[in-house]
Amino acid sequence: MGAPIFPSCSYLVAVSSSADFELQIQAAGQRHQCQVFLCNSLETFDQAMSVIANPIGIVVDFTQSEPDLPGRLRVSLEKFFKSVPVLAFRHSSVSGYDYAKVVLLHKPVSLNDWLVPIDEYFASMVAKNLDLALRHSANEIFPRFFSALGSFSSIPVYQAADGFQINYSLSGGDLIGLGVSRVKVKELENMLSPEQRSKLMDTLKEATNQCLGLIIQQVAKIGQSLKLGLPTVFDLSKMPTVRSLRFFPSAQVADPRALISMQVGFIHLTRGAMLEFPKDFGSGDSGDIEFL
Amino acid sequence: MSAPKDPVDLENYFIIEVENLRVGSELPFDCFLYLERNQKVLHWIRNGTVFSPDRKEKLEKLEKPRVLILKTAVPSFKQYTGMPTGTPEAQIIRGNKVGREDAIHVTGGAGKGADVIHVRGKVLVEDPIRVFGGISKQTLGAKAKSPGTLERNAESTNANRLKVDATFLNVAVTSTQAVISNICKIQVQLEATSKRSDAQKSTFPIDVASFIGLTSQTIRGTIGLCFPEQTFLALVNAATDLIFTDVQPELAIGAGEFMYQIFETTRLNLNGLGYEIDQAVPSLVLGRGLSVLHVMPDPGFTIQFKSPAGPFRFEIGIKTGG
Repeated sequence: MGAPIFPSCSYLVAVSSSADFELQIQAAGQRHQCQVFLCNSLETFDQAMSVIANPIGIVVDFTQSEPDLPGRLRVSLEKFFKSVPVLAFRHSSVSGYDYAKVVLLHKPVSLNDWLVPIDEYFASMVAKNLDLALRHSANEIFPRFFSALGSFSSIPVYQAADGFQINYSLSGGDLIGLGVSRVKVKELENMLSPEQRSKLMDTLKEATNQCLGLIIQQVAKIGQSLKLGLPTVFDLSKMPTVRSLRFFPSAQVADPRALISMQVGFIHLTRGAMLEFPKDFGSGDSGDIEFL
Repeated sequence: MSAPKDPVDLENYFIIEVENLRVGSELPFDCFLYLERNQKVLHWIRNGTVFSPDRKEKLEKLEKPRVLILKTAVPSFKQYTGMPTGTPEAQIIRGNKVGREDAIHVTGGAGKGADVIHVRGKVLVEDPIRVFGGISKQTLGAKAKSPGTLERNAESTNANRLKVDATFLNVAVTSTQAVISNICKIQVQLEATSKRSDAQKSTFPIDVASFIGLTSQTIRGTIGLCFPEQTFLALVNAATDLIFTDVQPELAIGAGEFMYQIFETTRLNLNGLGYEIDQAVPSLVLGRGLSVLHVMPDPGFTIQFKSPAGPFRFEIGIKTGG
């Protein structure tokens, strides 16, 4: 039995009758921590759309479809979702899908044929320049606490950690954000002195706090005011499955050994407007960050 | 602004500190006196009247004077006293005057001079004033009737005292009941309220949980909604009219859905009272025999509910120390 639709959850709607596609899109949902609702017929799609008020996006596999399905589906899509990003996989080009990003696949379809366009599709939802802002913030802050870490660089998807996850919520009006650091605690401890190890969790919370503080400064430059909440710490050995109810299109960065990864994403609860971060961050003026 | 027709309908009033009334100033709200012995409310000072020195002198001669204002007058009172508009009403009630060791005040806010939780046994049941913005007799009465069962608050002299807002707790309870009833058509009853440190010693099984951060000008913390597997399945089955027998990750989202709807209901109700709680999105966790202590290390309350679907818990951890 399929899972029900939960009204407050955000869904990526996927339409296909192909088992391969189903596996790949579900795996993509896991990689990007996004809930996928899979429809295997137009009727299911119409029913789902009557309940899912604001889908994150729609991914359609036309490679296995019946001849008339694309036309009927096109009518449904055009009717409701011109503002939602649509990704369509086809074997041959066809006109009339101006609102969709169409990816032409060659038969037989290999694994990468699905993965790369889907990951790029998710990346396109992320606030513009957020990856730059996050990379800058992480490189400003984390080396101050962990000098042996190395530079943070962008990574395409979040990396699971087998240690701890620290969640911070950011909020300001209808704009909310989620900042997550994931830490391989045991490996990190090996780099630290005994005194540093005893304070590791507090240090990590503080570093994440400061990193997100710099992000908040960047958001303030584009006219949005955000507050940072208290950290929620999850021991991943005791809580193997941790996810957010809503999908936050996020940028991710990590150090070279992926001992610490940071993920930050934003959503606007009432409208689909995307944030655009400035490209110029200036120097790290963290002296005026308010700490908890 | 007129008093409610029933002068002993205490739900329409808030207690204020006499010290907040400036001698010689014109009061922009009506003030009432609650006479405990007679269980009566008197209209003491009319809106627009100067608070004179002799009025204050007469008040101080009364035993346990209780000065009230109407709930509708709270914005005027805040403006008069210069309190921030986001100050929750419960903060107006400063329990430090009634500092008896074994008295319950569930007062609020994170401001100076707040606020301690003591426990007063039988008097709580008999003293309706305490329940205005506080937890009702039904929620604390069972404990309150047995004075010896609740320890005296040894933190009364501790600077890092637990600051708990009774209005917040009450609204959280009623919102939980309303949301579960609305979604699942199941009546939920409050079973017990206890300190988190006490509740953690129990063996209550938690298999699915959802957590959401709480931020506002006066409250910071984390709220958790925790279910045993069977309770969660029963609630989800009732909510969906489907029959699920196993909690898979895509079904565990339901915990986040319950949490979000309860949080939004609570938030909207509290914001209507001036709390200004920020929006947030819950995280959910799935496992077996989850321990939530490390997730919510801050002190606070555990509110246990019972229902035909089974028991579940609401955890509230509040950041102390400002």
